[in-house]
Amino acid sequence: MTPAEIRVEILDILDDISPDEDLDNLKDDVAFREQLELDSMDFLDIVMELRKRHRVQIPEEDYGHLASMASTVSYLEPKMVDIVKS
Amino acid sequence: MSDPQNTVTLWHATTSSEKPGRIEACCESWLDQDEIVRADRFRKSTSRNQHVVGRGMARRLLGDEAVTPNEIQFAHAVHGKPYVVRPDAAKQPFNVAHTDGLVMCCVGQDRHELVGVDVERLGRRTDPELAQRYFSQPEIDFLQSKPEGEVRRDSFLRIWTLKESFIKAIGTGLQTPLADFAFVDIDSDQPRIELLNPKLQSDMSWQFFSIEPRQGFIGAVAVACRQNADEVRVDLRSFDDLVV
Repeated sequence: MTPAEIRVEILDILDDISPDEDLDNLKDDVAFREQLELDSMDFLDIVMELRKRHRVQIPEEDYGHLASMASTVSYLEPKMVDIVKS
Repeated sequence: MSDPQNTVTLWHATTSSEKPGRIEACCESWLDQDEIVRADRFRKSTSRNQHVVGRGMARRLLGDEAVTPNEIQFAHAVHGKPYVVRPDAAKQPFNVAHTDGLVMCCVGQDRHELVGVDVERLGRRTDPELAQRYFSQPEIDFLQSKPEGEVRRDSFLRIWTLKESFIKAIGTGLQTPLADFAFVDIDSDQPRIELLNPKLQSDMSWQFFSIEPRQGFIGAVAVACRQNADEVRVDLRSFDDLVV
């Protein structure tokens, strides 16, 4: 997946987890939790969804990389580079 | 009679899911410009209101009558847990939690090293896989002993809030693996923690409280004291009454 495709995938997961949230104009460099109604349980749902959909394993010590859209895409890029978007 | 120095006060406030009300207006008047900028980043009113009330409550409650809410300055630890920088009179351990419609602020005394609080609305949608993946084995066994449906879901939220109260108290958030510690006596008002990872052990002793602050909500409070601390008491109070 390209960074742009990873971004779309994350938006799709966010939309599943928080369907009431308006994700248009999400600020990529601002922490998710500073602009969306996401709590810790939602965060773990995102991690689990990445594992279910793409078998991406994210250890707890790396959770800090998933703070914002920009940092999440950067972190996931090497892990998802060989995944073909369906 | 209980010792006030052993009492942790747990304040609960109503928040609006739409237009800010009286409590939001009052709390916003106590925030500094940075806090208002951060509040304005939230895209939904309910999130903005919770942020404003959470920080406003802390400003009003820390230092009690001896400190003006606006004069408090906060800083944030490495994983984001806020603490008071000045004035000294407001340097009390505190922690804030919020969920849909309710914000809670837990304020400890000097003898309490750390406090943490979490709250969830009962009936919240939960993924059973989350417990399987992240909880410790004794907690998974406890959940599986419960009948499926509402009882098991509420038990999950009871464990979840306890776990959150601990990782919020120590300030690491989810970077501390949730399976590194386990709760026992989960159905009691004061469950106990077992620290399964030696890295979590310290010279502090922990006390936990499982609380229903209002009908339809479940919450938990974590309090850490130096060894041989006396029994802590939690005093539940309405913040709404304070800003009438």
